[in-house]
This record gives sequence, structure tokens and C-alpha cells, in this order.
Amino acid sequence: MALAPLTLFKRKEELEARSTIAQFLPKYATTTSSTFHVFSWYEGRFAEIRFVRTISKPIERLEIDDSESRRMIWQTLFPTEPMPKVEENAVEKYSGLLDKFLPENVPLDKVMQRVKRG
Amino acid sequence: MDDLLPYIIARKGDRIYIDANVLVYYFYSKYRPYFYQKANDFLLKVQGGKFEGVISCITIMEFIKSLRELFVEYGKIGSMQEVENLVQQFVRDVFSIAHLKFVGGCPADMGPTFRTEELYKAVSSKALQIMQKYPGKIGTSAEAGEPEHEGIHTADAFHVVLAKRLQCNKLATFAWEFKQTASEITPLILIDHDTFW
Repeated sequence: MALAPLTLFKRKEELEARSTIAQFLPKYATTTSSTFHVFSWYEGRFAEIRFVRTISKPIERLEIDDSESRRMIWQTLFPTEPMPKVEENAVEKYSGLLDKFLPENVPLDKVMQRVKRG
Repeated sequence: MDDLLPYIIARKGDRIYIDANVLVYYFYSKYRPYFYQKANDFLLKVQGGKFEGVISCITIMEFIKSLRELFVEYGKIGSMQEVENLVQQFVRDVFSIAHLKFVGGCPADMGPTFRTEELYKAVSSKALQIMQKYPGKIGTSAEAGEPEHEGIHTADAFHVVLAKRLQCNKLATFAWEFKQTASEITPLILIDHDTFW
């Protein structure tokens, strides 16, 4: 199947359509070797959305068993502290927790750049 | 031709290596709320089992160093003991998130045992190659308007190598520098409009 890449959405339209497109992507992605074409509907129009070549290919891979490494990392950092347990809804519970300890508008990017540069 | 650049899509079941900036933005909403929201949404998808999140020692080290810098410079905290108590609390919170794998970053975590020195040689040698292969470019600093190097940092080279060796599909980050090493590991830049995840 040889189809030319084509974008029917103008930029603003495309942004509005993004969530709709996202829902359709897995369903309508088709492949010939490593090149993918994606199709979607938006407000009654059918569109081919460019090339997508970076959809992950199914690969045989080893499972990660982190039972040892998780404990090793924790105990290296905090040898006397018990291992934390996985909590249901931890992401919701701890989200934005630094807000309590820092003032507003701390430039995280600058701090992280400094960390990266050592 | 920019319009024809490919989208990047992370699918259910993908194994995604997580950069430290994702953790830092997730914990702080008062600088760039959009980044915070994206980090939060991404970790919710990890917690929900859509993705397998991978956190390496390098990520943890960068996260800890970022916390120390933030608490000391902005946190009005009196002692290093207080800082370290908080650091422990935040690392504990990360360990509490479901479907995150914490790895030393070697294939030994996944099967055949590698000797430490073999791992060291393999990863550090590859990281050296990455540093040499992607020299970056001359950019301009936003503040002073002076030339500055734009390219991957030492730790980033290790991230790339570890993500590959751990067979990750993507590397989740806010750092655009990882676009340079896209041929090694696909960057999932959480604020990139051309990503779906």
C-alpha cells in the first residue's frame, strides 16, 4: 500500500483534534515494514495523518525482575529504613508535594541543568 | 518539511525509561503547571499499568541531587539533617508508585548475571561512544545571549545506554537534548505536541 503523507488538519484544527486522534491511533495504525500510516476521523472528515514510523515494534524482551535491585538501591541509600511498600493511588497522593516546602516559581529547569552539568 | 516529521507514540505495554526531570516536575506544580500536569499524567499511566516505568540508579541520583539543591537554595531549611529527612521522604514516595521498576541498570536485573566489572566496562564504554557520536551544537544562552554548548550531558549518555540495555521502548523526559540521540532510544518528550502516550 503506497500512500503519500498528507496532513488535512491546519495547525489549530489539529490541536483541537488531538485527543480524538489519540483515541484512534492504536486502532487505525497500519504497517508495512517499519513505516506506518495513521487514519482518523475528525468532524466527519477522513484524514491520513502523516507518516508514523516510531510505533514500537513488538519485540522479544526479557522481563525485569527488580525484587533484588529495588531492595539493593533502597538499602544503599537508607540502610536502617524499612523498604517502602507500593501504595494504591500513590501518584495522586504525593503529586505536587514539593509545593509545601518551596516558594512559588522556583526555576526547576535551571536547577536541573546545574545538576546535569555537575 | 517539518510538518512531515513523524509522530512518536507510546503504546500500552511499552517499557519506558524515566528521566529525573519527570520526577521533579511531578512533585512541583508552581513553576510550570503544564509540565507538572504532563509529569503527573504520565506517572498516572504508569501506575495504572499502561506503561512499565523504569528508574535507574542514575535517575535516582539526579533526583536526589536536585532535591538537595532545591531544599538548600529555596527551601529555607536549617540543617542538612532536615534536608536528608525530606530527601528520604520523597524517594520513599517514588518507591511507593506501582509499576515502577528500580534497576541498577544492568541486564543482570533481567536474567544472566554479569560481573560488575563487565557491566562497568560495557556501560561506560558505550556512554563514551554516545558522547563522541552526538557532539551537540553551539547555541545561545537565554540569559546572557552568549554562545553555549547545547548537547547531551554525561548523565544523559548513561541514561541512553541504560535505556537501551534495559530494552526500553522510549525514554520519558522534558529535555529536548534527547532528540539528538533518537536513533539510539526514542525520546518521549512529554511536552512535545507530536507525541501520543
